[in-house]
Amino acid sequence: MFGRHPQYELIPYLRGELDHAARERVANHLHECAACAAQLDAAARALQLLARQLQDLPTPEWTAYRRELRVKLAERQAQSRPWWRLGAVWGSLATAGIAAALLVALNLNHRAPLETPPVEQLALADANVDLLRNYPVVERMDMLENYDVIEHLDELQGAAPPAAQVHQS
Amino acid sequence: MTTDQTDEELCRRVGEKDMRAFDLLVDRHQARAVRMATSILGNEADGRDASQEAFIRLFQSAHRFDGRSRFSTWFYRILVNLCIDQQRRNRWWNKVVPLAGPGTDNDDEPGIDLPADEPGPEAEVIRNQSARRLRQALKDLSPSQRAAVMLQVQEDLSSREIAEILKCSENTARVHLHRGITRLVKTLKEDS
Ligand SMILES: [Zn+2]
Repeated sequence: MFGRHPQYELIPYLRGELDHAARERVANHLHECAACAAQLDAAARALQLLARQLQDLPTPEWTAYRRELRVKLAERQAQSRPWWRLGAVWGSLATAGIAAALLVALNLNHRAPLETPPVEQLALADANVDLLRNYPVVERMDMLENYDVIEHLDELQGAAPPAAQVHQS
Repeated sequence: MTTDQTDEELCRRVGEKDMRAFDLLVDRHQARAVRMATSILGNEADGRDASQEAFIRLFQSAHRFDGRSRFSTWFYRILVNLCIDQQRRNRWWNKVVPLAGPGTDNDDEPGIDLPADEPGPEAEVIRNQSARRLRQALKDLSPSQRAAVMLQVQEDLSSREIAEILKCSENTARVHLHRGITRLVKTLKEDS
């Protein structure tokens, strides 16, 4: 399968992973081939040494390790949480963010034209400025709707004088 | 919940977001996970980060563990592939931005961080030397060879299980193992 020397089957042989036929084949080869036998012996010793040395690897302080892991996990869960499950604070923050972005966009939009606009646009812009100049009035349109009532308040008073005046007369 | 529950049972509970089961699994596997990641990546800080990332992914995907393979095979597939991917990224990055400076060995593999020679008690010195020899030996192996050897030595996994973790054929896993161990033998022999 792997050529004459069963080199890739030596470790599986050592660990007893091979089926009966393959095990027999490797065992027979090892009887005849000193090179493969030496290789198998060296591999077994290296694996033992490695297993021993692994125990000498420095390890972290586990309490700190687990605390750090918990923090990372909490951060990841917060990141992956869908937006509709986020708390009210995040909701209002998001709303504020969107509002701020809109304001910035509007502001940028106003500042955007660096080239001189055509004449029609300039006229339009002037008209807009006039509208904006009267903005406080426009804003109070709802009050003007009731202006007639306010204007005739005196008449209402004349029709029905206050109770105090009635007593005096 | 008892501590004698199998890893597979605990993993199923983690799938239901049971934090106690998660803590137990971390407690059982943290040392091996850190050793595995440190051995593949070549330094403790990266090994620590990668092992923690693997535990986070375990928590996030435990509900997908179907119990068809052993928990350790499933978990080490997450961990080892994280490490191999990171090692490849590091390698690519270090090719683009080569490490240069005083004391930098040109033929040093990127990501290998040998401990400094610090004076200390004799036992500590021997421990450091031993760890350094091991790292030096592992340094010469490719990430897949390192992973295969570590999975064999530390987790006692078969070639078939290693193949499952490394997402390769069983024959390829055997080749990784053979080449990795042959190189280890050579390095350790030269060192002794
Ligand atoms: Zn032979």
